Amino acid sequence: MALIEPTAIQDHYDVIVVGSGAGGGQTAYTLAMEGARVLMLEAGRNYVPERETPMFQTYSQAPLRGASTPDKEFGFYDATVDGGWQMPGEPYVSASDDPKRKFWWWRARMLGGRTNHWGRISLRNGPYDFKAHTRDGLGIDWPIAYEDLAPYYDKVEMLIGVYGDRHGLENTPDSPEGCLLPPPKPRAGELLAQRGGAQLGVPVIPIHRAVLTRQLDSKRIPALLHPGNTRAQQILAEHLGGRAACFWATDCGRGCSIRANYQSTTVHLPPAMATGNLDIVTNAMVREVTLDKRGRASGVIFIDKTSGAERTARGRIVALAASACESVRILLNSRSAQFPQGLANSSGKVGKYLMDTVGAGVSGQIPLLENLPPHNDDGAGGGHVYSPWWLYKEQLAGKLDFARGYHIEIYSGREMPNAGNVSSIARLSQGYGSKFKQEMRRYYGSFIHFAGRGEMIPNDNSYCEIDPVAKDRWGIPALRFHWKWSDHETRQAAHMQKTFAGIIEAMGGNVMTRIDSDGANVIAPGGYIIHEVGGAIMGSDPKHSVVNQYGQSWDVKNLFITDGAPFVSNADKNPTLTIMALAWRAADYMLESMKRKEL
Amino acid sequence: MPVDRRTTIKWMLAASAALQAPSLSFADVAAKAASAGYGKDPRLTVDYKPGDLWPLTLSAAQRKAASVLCDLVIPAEGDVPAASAFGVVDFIDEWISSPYDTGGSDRATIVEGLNWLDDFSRSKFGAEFAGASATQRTSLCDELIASPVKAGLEKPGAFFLRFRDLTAVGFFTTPIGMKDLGYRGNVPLASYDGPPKEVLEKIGMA
Repeated sequence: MALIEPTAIQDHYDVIVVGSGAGGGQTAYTLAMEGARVLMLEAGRNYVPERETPMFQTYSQAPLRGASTPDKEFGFYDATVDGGWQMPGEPYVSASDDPKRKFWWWRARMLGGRTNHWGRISLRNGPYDFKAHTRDGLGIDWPIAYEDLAPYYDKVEMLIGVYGDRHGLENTPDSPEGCLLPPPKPRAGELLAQRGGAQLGVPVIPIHRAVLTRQLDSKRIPALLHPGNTRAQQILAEHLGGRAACFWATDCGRGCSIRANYQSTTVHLPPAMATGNLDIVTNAMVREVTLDKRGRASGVIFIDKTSGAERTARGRIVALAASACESVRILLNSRSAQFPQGLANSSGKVGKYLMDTVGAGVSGQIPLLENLPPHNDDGAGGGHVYSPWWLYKEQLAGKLDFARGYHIEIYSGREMPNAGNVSSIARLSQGYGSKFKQEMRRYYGSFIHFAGRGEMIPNDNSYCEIDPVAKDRWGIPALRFHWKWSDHETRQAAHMQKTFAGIIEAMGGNVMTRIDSDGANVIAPGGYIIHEVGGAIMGSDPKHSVVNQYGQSWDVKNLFITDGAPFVSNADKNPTLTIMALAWRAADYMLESMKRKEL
Repeated sequence: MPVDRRTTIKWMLAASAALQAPSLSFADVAAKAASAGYGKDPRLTVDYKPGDLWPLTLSAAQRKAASVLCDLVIPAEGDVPAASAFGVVDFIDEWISSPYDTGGSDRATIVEGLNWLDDFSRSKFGAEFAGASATQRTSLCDELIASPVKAGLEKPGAFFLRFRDLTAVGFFTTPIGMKDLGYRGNVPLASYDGPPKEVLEKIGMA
């Protein structure tokens, strides 16, 4: 089994996994390593990080010095290919013309999906995050508690490799001994942020990111992850040995050819394929889930994008991990006499409670960082520190005008010069000629950016549905989005700005961003942070949720959703680690159900 | 500074070495998605040269003026040559010729500005900009960079600033330019040990 042509698909699989990112990768990994026969369908092309990653290219080798364009929104060297907020031939619709009520839908049509370019920030949800309604009366509780997911967080961290440490802070779980790799030391700007934050009571501690600061322990970890499964242990041991430790160069956003950070294509898929249990078909755009006479899922219909032909695949179980909105779209497009409102939608909740992360930021210029002796601070290709939310008690006591928290991502340093950062320095520099060059050297590396990433509470005005008219190039009906932030989010964004300006001032710096007391003017559009979750929420009551705590559809027992769609809340913690932990748990449940012949 | 480009936009968002946030408006993205640029799946590991992907704009006369002007912006210093030796004119031409919005307002600004430079130079110095004396060229640049710029020179002043910033982008992103700026990364290391002692001392964190 391997990467195969659509014509080589076998008659029947145990599980069909739709999508190859964090959710699909983890689902397929767990199933294949434990012996299930899996077919993975990916809508994008095959992608080979070892061959395609621009590791040491400088921006002078790129068109437009690497500047972001509508074709490559995060800059030329961003790992995403065939992706973005706008894709030719793949439209979506906004129900409102108001720019503040538009939702931006990011797609990454490539093997591994958005795991190839993500920020690698890997934070655990805390105990409050699963029971937020109980705590403050807003939103919805999850049907599981932190303790239910904690063992899976442990396993995922050991498998993918995450750096970080332990601080015992409120609702910011510590990992057990042996799960995390040592964090890198802070850069100069990060140290100053730590000192400035301390003056305001804002903790700045090592962030958790999926980057190998040393090689993973191939003797210890396999037995912990696959007890009693010698073959899986051998495969994983070999695979861990094939992943190099970070060599402290090149941005993680480019991807990593030495497999030192997590992307599904370098971490989940290779060992899963080595088992011989995983077939992967790329350029396979799934349109709908098919049903048998009993109302169980029988497989999927997909478009082979290379030929345009419509094809089917059959399995005992169908697991959707196409990304929250794409999985919703597949469900809503799977209409039948039995499910006229779309599959698995007897609750009417499919598409509802769509959430993104609240984003707002402030940039500063720090005189103390001017004219520093040149030094290499590429580091781990992303942030080394962050601030977890620190005002839980104040919030609970009603001292803040918004209900949920945010964390702060801190970006500073002497990053590789590109079109963006050089223009910014130039704008601040005076004169021309030698004086100008001197000014450029003075300001280079003296900037810092604080990016707030906060929790959005699900609301009735933010959801997606099938547009009655728009279709993609394959004739598949497209999504229409409805979006509205509540005051909880916009006030939080205003609080972010005020806080960040305060930290910059405490660092003796100059605030470079206009601060607006109306958060509605500074909050990023829905979908901009690319943390969309929800749309097929899990619950304990079939009337009010789409899936149970294992991502299993209430209506169709052999249909699972293992991406971000089952999220009931969107804590400030970046969703990827939680998607993987939930997917592992769901896959364990599938394996047991198959073993017990329930499925 | 992790904020990209000149586009006027109210919100400035996350960006980092790892993930540089684009400053595009929704309308930009929607309007340009089907542009004739390098597309959604360009090869990332090959060397691109200006002119490879879309035709260039500048005439020989404009290139000549641009070459002289960019060397005034980034002159030779020690053993580091001036900007024109680094293909900066080619880069600026690529930038203003692109099918993306870099080819929009910047295209008019740069083309008209270079034309103005020669016209003005001919009427005032009796020769095109490249043929004027070093003193004449410097005095003109001094006037254009003045803040506030003299009445009547607002447009040429804005051109010079934009040209200067593009020259900086062209130069400081090359291997020698990066080193000149103080960038020391992009080399594999066995370990990352944090900032060196002299840096820690300078920021008072030793």
